[in-house]
Amino acid sequence: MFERAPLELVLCQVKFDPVFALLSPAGVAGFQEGLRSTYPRAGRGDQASVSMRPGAIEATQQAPIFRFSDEGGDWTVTIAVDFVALETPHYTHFDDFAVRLDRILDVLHRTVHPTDSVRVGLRKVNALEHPSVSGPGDWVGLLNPSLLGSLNERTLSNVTQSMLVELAMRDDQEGTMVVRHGVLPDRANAYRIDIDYFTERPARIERGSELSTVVQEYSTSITEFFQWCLQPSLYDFLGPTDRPERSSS
Amino acid sequence: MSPVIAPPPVRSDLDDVERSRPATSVDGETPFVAPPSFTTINPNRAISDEYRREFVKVSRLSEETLMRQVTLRTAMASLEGLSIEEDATLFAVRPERLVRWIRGEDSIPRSSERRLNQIAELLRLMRHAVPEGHTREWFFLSIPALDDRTPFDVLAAGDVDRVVTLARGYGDPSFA
Repeated sequence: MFERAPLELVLCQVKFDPVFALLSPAGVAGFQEGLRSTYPRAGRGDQASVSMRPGAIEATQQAPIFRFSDEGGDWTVTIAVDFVALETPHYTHFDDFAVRLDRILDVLHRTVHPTDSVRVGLRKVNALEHPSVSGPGDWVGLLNPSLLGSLNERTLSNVTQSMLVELAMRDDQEGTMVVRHGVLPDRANAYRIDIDYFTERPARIERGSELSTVVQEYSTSITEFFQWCLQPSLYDFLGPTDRPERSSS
Repeated sequence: MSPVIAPPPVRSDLDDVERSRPATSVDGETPFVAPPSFTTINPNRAISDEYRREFVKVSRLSEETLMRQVTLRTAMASLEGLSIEEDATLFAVRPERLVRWIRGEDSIPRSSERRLNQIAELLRLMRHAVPEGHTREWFFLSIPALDDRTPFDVLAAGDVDRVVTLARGYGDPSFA
């Protein structure tokens, strides 16, 4: 963990074949009941959207999305006809996230009983800031040169206004890590590292299943990649706290 | 300057959630919301039609049918720690059928309503006496008032009223 944790979002989504009972509140009632004590605030997403194209306006009905949040609004569980997700802008330790996810999968198993997962993804979004940075070129020396690519070239870094790079990597267990990183024009002093690790390998959706292990492993890999991005000076600036080794994002 | 060849885009279904998230979340900065080619929450035509058909089916369910589904799913939420086979025993159905009821693939018949309501009431009553996380333990505890049999065994034998009566006692102020 870091004193100046750059984490903005952690999100885990488990997709499954559609369970059409989840189209109605009656289908979600058990799931909500099972989580009510921890996530008492309930909301529902829009069911319809309007799309416009030249000469046509089209109304499209979409499956409803149900959200349940804790009292503080820090943790949100989302369920729709074909997925469940847990998200938070921050956590003390990933174990807290993992325990919550396990509980959600248990309740989902009992009250919805979906088939095996068709996709599991874990995503962490970080936004790095540093007092010496006012533009993209200032990240040279703070971030891994291999990450920065063209910014290492002085003639380019001096004129670069924004940068967005996407990198996709495949592991040997049918998992894919996609990293989107760069500097946005509307927030030139921040470097965003958005890491999304997912698999379409099926796994049972229940407490303590292989799915939970996969998510733990993805979290570790994401953390390792994030730390690879940091040069020692930036790592120290972030203020690592409770672990002797480089710790999680 | 040499042209830069960008890596091909990779679809990220997690953007489904990003699009559905309220504005208080990270998606305020639109450039980091993946471009439309990444998103998959907009179902294609075939899926959309399928969803629409299911919408119609769900909307035509009677209130009575929906209430039975709600009762079952709410009861299932309380049955922490029990296997689907054990759950099925409580509701006096085969496990495969129970799964179809939970998923809404089969309607719960009126003939199963009494047992369903009895188990739901039992679970409500248990909240007074059985701490969260100990449900399974209670079902498999030998209880003198049940002639040292477990609630699960008595329920499996079909004597639901006896177990419900026992659980009603938990709500009695003299129960400690």
